[in-house]
Amino acid sequence: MRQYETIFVVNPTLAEETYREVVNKFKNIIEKQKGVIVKADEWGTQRLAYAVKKFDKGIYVIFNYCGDAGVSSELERDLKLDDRVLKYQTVKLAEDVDPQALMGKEKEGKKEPEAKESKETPAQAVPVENNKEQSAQEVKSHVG
Amino acid sequence: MAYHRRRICRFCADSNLPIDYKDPRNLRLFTTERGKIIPRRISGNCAKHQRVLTVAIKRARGIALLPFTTSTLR
Repeated sequence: MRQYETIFVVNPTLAEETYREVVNKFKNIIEKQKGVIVKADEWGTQRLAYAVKKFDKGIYVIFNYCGDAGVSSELERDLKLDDRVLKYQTVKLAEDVDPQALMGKEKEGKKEPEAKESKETPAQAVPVENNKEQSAQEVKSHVG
Repeated sequence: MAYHRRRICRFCADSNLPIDYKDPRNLRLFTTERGKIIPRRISGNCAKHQRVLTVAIKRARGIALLPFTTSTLR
């Protein structure tokens, strides 16, 4: 399986319900093609860097998913046909990935920041103590 | 934005610094106010990271996170 990331911009003037419908529609398309969604992210309404179909704002949605080549081409075809979608782009992130492993990583990633902080503090403390001991030893040797 | 002369590559100096096309705020540091990509000789990036950065900026332009150009400069 390959890992893809598709980012698309939805018309910002849509009602909340219609917007949800659009997002769910494309989620279903991925699942129908036997793709696995690793992460679905919604950025909400963002300013566009340039006008797209005369809109200067858009709702960004990002799908990170795994699947065979057919998944992304099918998804892109439907994005193209749907006129509620202003723009879309797909990037291939990796070849030959295991979706289950990625799902596990995604969960770990959320916990990681806390774990890192707790690790850093003792690691920083240790070298300082070592330096003190070393300097003390040096002093002794000088005296001796 | 003032141009700084060649310095060390920021991405080599801090390996944690990601280059991601979804992060226009950081990519903007490497474009001029007109939206052009700042060349290596000015930004000081190494060849490897400049290549990655260029792709990221171009991807960001494709999905309207960064401008291709700002036609009306005030």
